[in-house]
Amino acid sequence: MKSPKNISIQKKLLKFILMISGIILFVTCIAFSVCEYYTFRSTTLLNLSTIGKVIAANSTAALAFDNNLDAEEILTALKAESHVIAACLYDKDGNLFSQYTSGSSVHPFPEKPEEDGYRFEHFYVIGFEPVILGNNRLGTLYMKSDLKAMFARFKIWGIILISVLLGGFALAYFLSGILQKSISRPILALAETVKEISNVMDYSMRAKRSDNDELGLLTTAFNQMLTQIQEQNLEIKSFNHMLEQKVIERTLELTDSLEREQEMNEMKSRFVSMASHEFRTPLTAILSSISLIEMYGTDQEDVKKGKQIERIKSSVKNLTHILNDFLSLEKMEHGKVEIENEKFDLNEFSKDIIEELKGMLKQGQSINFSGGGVMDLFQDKTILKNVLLNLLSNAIKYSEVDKEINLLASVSNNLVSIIVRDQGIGIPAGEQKNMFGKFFRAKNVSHIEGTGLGLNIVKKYIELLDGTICFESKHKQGTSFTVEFPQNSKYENNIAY
Amino acid sequence: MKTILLIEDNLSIRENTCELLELEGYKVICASNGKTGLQLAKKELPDIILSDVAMPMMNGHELFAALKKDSSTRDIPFVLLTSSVEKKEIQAALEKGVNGFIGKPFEKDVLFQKISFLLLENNS
Amino acid sequence: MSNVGRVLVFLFLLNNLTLSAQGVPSKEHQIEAVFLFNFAQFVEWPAHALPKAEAPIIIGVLGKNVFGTFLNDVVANERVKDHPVIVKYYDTIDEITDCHILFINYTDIRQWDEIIPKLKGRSILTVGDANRDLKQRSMVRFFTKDDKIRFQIEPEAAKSAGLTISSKLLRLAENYNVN
Repeated sequence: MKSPKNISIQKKLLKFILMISGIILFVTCIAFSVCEYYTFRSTTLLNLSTIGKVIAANSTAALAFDNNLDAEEILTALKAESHVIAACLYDKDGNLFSQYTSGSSVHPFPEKPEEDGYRFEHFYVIGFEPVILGNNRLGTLYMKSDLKAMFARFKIWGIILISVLLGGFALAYFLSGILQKSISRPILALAETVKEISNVMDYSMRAKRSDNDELGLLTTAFNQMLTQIQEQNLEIKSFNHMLEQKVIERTLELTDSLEREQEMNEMKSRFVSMASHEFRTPLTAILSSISLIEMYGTDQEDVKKGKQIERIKSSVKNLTHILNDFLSLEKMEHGKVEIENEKFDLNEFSKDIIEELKGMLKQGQSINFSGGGVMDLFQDKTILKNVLLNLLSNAIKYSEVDKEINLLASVSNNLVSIIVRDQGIGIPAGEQKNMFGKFFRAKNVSHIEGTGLGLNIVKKYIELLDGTICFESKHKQGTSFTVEFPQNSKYENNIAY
Repeated sequence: MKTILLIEDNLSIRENTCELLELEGYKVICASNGKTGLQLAKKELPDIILSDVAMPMMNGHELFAALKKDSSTRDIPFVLLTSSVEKKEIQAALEKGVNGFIGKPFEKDVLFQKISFLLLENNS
Repeated sequence: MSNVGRVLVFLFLLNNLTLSAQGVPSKEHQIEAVFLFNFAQFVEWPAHALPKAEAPIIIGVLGKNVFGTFLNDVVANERVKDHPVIVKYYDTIDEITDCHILFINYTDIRQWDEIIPKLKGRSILTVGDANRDLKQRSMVRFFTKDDKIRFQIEPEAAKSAGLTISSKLLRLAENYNVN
């Protein structure tokens, strides 16, 4: 509240009020003084003429009967009028008849009466009053009055004037000190609020409205402005927030697509190295077989040729299998798999698969099936076959010779449960979590051919059947995969997934 | 008659390559993994060793390192049959002293030429 | 001034009076004539004495006319409160019918004793000489003092006659002391 600007507003107001009231007071006093002066002049003249008339009337007899002693006596009555300093009477011929002077002062009387009437002469008022009796003029009364009374009155008037001026000024100062607050206070309050707002940047503050005048309106307008600023701030904030959110989203999307691209690149390079290995092995076998057939010549035994041809067939099958895996994955990833449900018995189905895999078994290996009664399913046979072929061929592949493989199937509460258990090399504990990843191969199988796609494909197939897959494995002791899916598919036939 | 030690885990490739080399007039000893290969190499002291890279028990690189440690097998020419196309891998192996590479799948003539060249080089 | 001196002055004045009879009145009589007229202006008569506005105020002179025509000249064309003023001369008291101011100029003192009681009850301002009406006094009595004509007023007499004398006039009245 004490900044020099604030003080100046109050001072300005005070100055203006004092100036205006001072000017008004001064002008009023001057006007009154002038008025008073003229009033007093005329009053003085009137007073003197009244006295003159009385004296003249009283003097009639004295003049009529030529009694100047009496006349003097009458004039002496003027003693009561201290301002009348000299008076005299002239007879009708204009000769001095009697005279009067106040105190010891000596005043020359005009030799002859002058024109009737009263007038100011230097610092005196003089008057000639005719003395008339009936229709006759008996003589003239002369009077001379000083203006001491007038000056005395002017003196009093001056004192009053100065007191009024000072009093009025003081009153104006006092009142303006109080009244200007009604103007300056809301302005200062407003200024204070503005200062605080700009300091704290808090637009939720509001200036207090005092009256219903223009300052009140200003305060209201200011508050409305603040409300608008606040609203706009909120809008800007929410807009900023939205923008930030968008930026984050976009960044995430970008990161996502970048990651996807990176993943794709990684997969590509993994595919290249996998393909180079996995394709070369059967191709090497095929080429070596062909080279041998070439060297056998025409006279060689058919048995040897037949053996080489079998090898070529097997290698080509192997290559076809790898290609099928790629195709399955490609199909599933693009959602191109069609589900074709049909009714079949899980027992028979399992046995067929075991029969099919017999050629793959290593020496001394066997697959033992155990099911429970009739197990009629309504499911996609092809998908389920793919799943079991994958799991069982893995079991054969990663088991040593003479190891038993178990296939257990059961149905309870409309839920089919199939377990494939081997006594193979197992999966190292640290790598189990990655088992279903694409192109993933555990470190302990790097010498065994494989694409790293099998389990990934199995998982996706099981999901198509609305089922789940999990496994338990101990390194060098064996692995057990458990697949669970509904006995009857919820899908009708031929529903594109 | 020169003796060749062939170490290859894939049965078809092992048997076929063995037969091809025998038809070419070499005596061939076969092993299905690196460990057996190392034992045979020390025992038979072949004139040349052909080895696959990716094998169970002991892979080709490990086998080569083991052969280099033994004075009896140190100077036997060593050829890797590899399906790898990684130049870095080949470069590293050559620097370690591997005598040759034969990329899978291979033509029989390439195989024969490489072997006869290395045998000649070793004799001289 | 000694009594002797006073007598001398009086004789002188008498002499003047005598002269006036012969045409031009003496200065003293002239003043008296003016005073007579002036009295009219300081005295009010009862209504019955001046019933009408135009009724003249009559100044009567009883006895010897010492003013000649001077008094006539003084009042000529004068009006007092709208009343014209006229002068009448009487030889005997019986002649007086309407009169407002009566200047009595008897030299014989006995005549004074007679006339004043006779006029009693009438609204006539009687004016006489203080040296003559010693017993029966007129209402206004002229006398001379310091060479000036002065007068004495008997206010009781005037009052009983129904006359109102202005205080201004009363102020001027003086007591006449024989000694």
